[in-house]
Amino acid sequence: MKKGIDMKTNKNMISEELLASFMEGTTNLENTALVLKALAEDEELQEEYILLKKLDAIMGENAEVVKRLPLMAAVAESDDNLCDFQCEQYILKRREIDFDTSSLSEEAKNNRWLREKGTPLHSVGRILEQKDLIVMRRFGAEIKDIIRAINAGHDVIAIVNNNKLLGKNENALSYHAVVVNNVVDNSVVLYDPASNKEETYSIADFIKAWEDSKSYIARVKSKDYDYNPRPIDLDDVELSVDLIDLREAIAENAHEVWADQRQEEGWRYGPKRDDIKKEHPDMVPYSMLSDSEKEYDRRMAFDTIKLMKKLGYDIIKHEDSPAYLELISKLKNIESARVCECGANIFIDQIYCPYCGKRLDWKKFK
Amino acid sequence: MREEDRILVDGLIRKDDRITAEFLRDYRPLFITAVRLVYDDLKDEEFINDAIGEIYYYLVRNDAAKLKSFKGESSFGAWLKIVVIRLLKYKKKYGKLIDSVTSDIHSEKEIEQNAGIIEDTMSAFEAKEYLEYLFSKMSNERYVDVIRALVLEDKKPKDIAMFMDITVDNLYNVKKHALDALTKIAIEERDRYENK
Repeated sequence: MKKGIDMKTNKNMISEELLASFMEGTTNLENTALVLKALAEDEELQEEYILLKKLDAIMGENAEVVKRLPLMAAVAESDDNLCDFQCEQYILKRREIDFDTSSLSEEAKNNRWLREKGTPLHSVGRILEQKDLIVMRRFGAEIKDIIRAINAGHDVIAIVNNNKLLGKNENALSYHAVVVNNVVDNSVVLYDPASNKEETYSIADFIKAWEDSKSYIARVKSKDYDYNPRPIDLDDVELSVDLIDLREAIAENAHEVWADQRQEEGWRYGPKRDDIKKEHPDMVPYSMLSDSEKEYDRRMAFDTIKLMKKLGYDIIKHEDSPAYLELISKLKNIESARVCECGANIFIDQIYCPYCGKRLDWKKFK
Repeated sequence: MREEDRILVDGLIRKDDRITAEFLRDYRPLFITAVRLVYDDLKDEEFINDAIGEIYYYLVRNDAAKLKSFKGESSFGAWLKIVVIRLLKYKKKYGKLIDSVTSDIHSEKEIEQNAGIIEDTMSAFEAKEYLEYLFSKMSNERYVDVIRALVLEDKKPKDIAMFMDITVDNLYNVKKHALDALTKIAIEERDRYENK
C-alpha cells in the first residue's frame, strides 16, 4: 500500500502517548501530520479528542497557563498604605512641580486612586497625570526598559513584592511601590518610601521581587507625542464558544453607541470623512459596515473580554440551569464555606473535595 | 521522562503505599470528571468508585504492563487522560471492563490495539505537503507562522518568541490554539472531500 498523503490511515493507529504529545504541542513534523490525518479520518479518534478537550476545559488545563495580571491589587506596603502616594510626591518634588500634600491626598481619595487598602495598580501615577505629566503603565517590562526610560530622563515607579525584596521568609505577597533611580553594574538604586531614602539592591534580587507584580512599571515623562502603543499580551487567554458569541453582540453595540453619540453631535452619513460637514462613511447600521470596519469592532470586543479574563474576572451567563443556580448559591455562600485540609473551599453538598478529591467527613466541620 | 513523572510511575509499578495513595488522591478529580463526561453527567457514586478501581487495576495489572508502556514522550498527566478516556469509552461500549469469572479485561485486545503501536508513518516530504495544504485553508496567518516555524522549520522557541515579542509560555499557548484550529480544518476538509 502506498504510504503517506494519499494513503488511508489505519483506524486506531495513534497511540495514547503520541496523541498526548500532539495535544501538548511537542510532536515533530511527521507525527504532527500523522495525527492530523488520523483525526481527520477516524471518527472515534475525533470523539476522543473532543472528550479530551472538554476534560481540559473542566479541569482548567488553561487556567495554569494564563498568567493573571494583578491590575486591581493594592500597592500598600508602607505607613498608612501610602507608598505609591509618597512615590508620586517624590517625583513631583524632583521635577520641581508645586503641590499641596493635603489637597493631593483629598483628590486621590475622592477619585478612589488612593483607598484604605492602598493604591490599585491601575491607579499608580494618576496624581502625576493631574499635574500634566504623561504616565505609561505596563506589565511584563524588562530591566532594559527601565534603563532606557532612565536614560531618556523619565521617572520609573516599579511595583515589587516587598517581602521578597527585603529577604523576609514569608510567602505572602506584599505589593510595594518604589522609584527606580538608577541601574548601575549589577545594582539597582531605589527610592523606598518606607524608609524615605535610597536603597541599593542587586539586580537579581530586585528582579525576583519585581516579577511578583508581573514586572509592572509606570513610566513618567513630560508631555510629548512620542507614543508607542503596548497593549497587554492576551495570547494565552482562550475564550469559550459562548463568549465568542458575546463578542459579536458587543461589537455591534459598540458601533451603535459610537453612531448614537456622533448623531447627537450632528454627524451624518457621507461617502468620505469630512470634519467640517460632519460626515462619516461609517454612519450606517453595523450590518452595512465593511468587513475591515466590523473586524475593528470585533477585535476591540474580543480583546476587552480577554482582558477581563486576564485580570482575573469571569463572565457567567445567567440561566435557570441547576449548574448556574448552584454556582450562584456557592458564590453567595462563600462566607459560610468550609476549608478542606488541602486549603480548597468546600460546600455542604459536596461529597469530595473538588481540588484534592478527598472524601469529605462533614461531621468534622460541624 | 520528566523526573517527577519517573518517580510517580516507578512508585506505582512497585506499589509504593505513599505514592499510590497520593496518585489516587491527586488524580481522583480527573477520574471523576472523566467518568461523568463519558457517562453523560452520571452521579452514581458507587459506579464512579468502581470505575476508578477499574482504571487503577488496568494500569497495574499484568505486572503494570500499561504503566511500563509509558515512555515519557509526553507528560504522564496528558498520557493518563487519554488512557482513562479510551478505557471508559470501552467500558461504556461493553457494559463492563472486568470479567467477573476470569478477572480478565473485557475486549482487552481491542483496547490494546487502540493504545498500540503506530502502524504507519509519513515521510517528511508527505508530512510537509499535507501541512502546507492545510495551511492554505487557514485564515489565521499567525497560527500558520507559529506552526511553520516550530514544526516545519524547527526554529528555537526562544528565538520565535523574541521575534513575535511574546513569552515562550505564550508561544506554546499560541501553538496549542493553532493545532486546535488546524485539527478543525483537517476534519472539515476531509468532510468536504467525503461529501463531494
